[in-house]
Amino acid sequence: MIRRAALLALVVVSVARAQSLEPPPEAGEGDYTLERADSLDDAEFEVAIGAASHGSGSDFRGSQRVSFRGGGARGTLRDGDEALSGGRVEAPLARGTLTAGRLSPRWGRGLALGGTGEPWVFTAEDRGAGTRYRGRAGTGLGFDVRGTSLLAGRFAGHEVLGAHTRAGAGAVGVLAGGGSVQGSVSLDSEQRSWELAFDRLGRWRAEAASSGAIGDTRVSLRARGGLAAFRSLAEPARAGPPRALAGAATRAFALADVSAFGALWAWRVGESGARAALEVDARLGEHQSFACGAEDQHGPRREPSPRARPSGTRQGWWCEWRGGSPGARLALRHELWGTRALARDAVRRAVVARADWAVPFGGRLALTHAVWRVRSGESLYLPEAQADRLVLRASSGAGSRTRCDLRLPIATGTIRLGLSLATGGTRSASRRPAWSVEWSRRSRLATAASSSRGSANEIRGADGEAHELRVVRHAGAGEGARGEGPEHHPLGDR
Amino acid sequence: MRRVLAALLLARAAAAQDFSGASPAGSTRAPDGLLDRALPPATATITAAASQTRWWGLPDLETRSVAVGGSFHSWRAALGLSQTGEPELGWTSLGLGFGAASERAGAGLRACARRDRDAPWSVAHALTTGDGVEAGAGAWIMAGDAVRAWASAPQVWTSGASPPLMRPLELGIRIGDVDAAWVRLVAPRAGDDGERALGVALHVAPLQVWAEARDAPLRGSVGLSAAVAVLRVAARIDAHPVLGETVRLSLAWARERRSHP
Repeated sequence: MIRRAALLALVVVSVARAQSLEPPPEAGEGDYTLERADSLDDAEFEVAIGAASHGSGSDFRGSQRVSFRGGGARGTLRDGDEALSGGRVEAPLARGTLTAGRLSPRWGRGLALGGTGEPWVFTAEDRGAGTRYRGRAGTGLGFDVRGTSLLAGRFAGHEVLGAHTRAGAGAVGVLAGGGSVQGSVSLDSEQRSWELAFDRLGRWRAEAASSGAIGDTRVSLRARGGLAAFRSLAEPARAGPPRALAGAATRAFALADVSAFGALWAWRVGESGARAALEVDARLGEHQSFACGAEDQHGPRREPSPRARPSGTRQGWWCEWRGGSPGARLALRHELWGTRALARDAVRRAVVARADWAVPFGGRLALTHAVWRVRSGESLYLPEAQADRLVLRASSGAGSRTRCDLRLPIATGTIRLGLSLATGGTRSASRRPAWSVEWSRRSRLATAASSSRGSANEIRGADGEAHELRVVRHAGAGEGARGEGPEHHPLGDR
Repeated sequence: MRRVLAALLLARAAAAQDFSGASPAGSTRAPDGLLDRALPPATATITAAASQTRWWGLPDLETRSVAVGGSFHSWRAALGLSQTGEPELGWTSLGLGFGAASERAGAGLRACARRDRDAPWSVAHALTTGDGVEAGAGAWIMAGDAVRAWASAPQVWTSGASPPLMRPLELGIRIGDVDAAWVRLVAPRAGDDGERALGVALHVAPLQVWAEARDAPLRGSVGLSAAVAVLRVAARIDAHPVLGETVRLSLAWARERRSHP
């Protein structure tokens, strides 16, 4: 049983890492910020105060953040943060858990609530419990007790009520709001899951996913069918294609892990797409690795508007090397996309280097420099890993971006200084240097509590995860999701 | 005069590194590495170097530079002065490099200020808006016993008059020390699609010969250097299918405090 669960987790993780991190369909133009899940141990809290440049002048904006976890309660509250305002608090109540603030639930496969929106992504990384990022699908109240979840909040511009209950591997849920009612029936076992979602007009969608192993190869499959008219009333922008088929396979060889991905999907009659990708990830000793991949895409990746131009072929390849020692590390990456075979007739090219060093007094200095060239009509997102977030910087035209981060333990906490300089085409309005400073301190709530994760003032979770330095993410321009109106843009998303 | 003007325009559009010497890419011994690409030398060295570059075979378009470099423990510093072109249309550059390096890794910063040669100069107006200033950073690391990877961004920040050449991020990996092969990748700029280069070097004491091929457009470079005691003489020829040949000569005095592994 445990081995099966571990296998499933490995498959899901490998699939998730292979997918590009992109702004979700509900995001509009410009930068997008993903909030990292906190890394607090039990009985810990963290306070942070900071300031960052604001606008094109000399203005700056202060911010405060408090995160805590202990006694069954946990939460994060932010104030003054331009990209991530608000918060979320969970507390035990009547043998259950009450949640208030930002909500990002997922039911089953996500057809009714918590979907991905991307045709080839198996599971959203910012929906549901235990995900890498905290999503912001809506705001309101949630209550979980004994396998039953209730929620009431504002999603996609209207009030939504929901109830979801699990019995064994099965689950049933109902969503109501905006003059509509939707139902969800799902089954979640260790290696297989499926969901049927429907509304009272008879519109429906169904999806099934399975993971397992064929010999030494880990395999996962996903199939979806249904009507194009059905879309979640809570998250309509993440409806995704009504018909899709996706698969992934990963095998560990002696020299490298090799992964293959394939997906087919259809938005409407005559508007279909396909994607195939191959990745090789090799570890070269204790601190070095090399990864490369090739990808081929046809058709629209996001739901096209009826007047959208047909999307053509995109072929791309990328390679990335990382090396050095813990005291001095270097990462190099190159990515190229073209409209013809073998990535010829380039439409997107990006080169990124990141170096970081240990500095005296236990600090760390990192310098990231990215250069890109993007043809008109295409877009590019450059991830920028920060202490508690991942910012996807929208980039266009030709330009460069440099970011310098310095972390130093100081005054029983940690101070982080950041400086960004964009010298070319970006969608951010300002080309002036942008700066930020934040001091944070992590402490234990009770001295009796013990932890194996280091001292209270240890710097943690600030390097970003390895996949976040797979530095170039992209999304085709002009493929916006239907209904990309203001109601689908949570305030904190940008 | 027209010829000089055309030559200068070509140089500005094609290539004009003020402190680039005649060494091949990725060399850990290049005395110009810190000034030109913010890559400090691996060894603690005291250097003095002079170089001359004739761009595209035009006698009126030459770059002459002198540079000195020094070390203190793991710290590296370099200072250079160069002059390009005739007094009417040329420019003078002052470069400064600073960094730290060990035998396994190094990182540096560089800054360069340019001023037209015919501009009136005084201490009070040393860095006015008429000057061009740029600053950049670079880092290298030994990825194996003889594998060196580097990243150099010579113009992270620019101000004032535009530099003669926009120099974007360059990535490279070199395998070997004196007998070596390397690959370089230069990021795209507005108006081009970047550059890719492949090179090899062979060492037959006291000579080293090397060659490099680059694309966009396809072209190449060859170089020859000789080291006798503390003196190094190097020559390099870059061939361009349209612009012609660029010849660089350099003479360096270098005293290493310890031998490179």
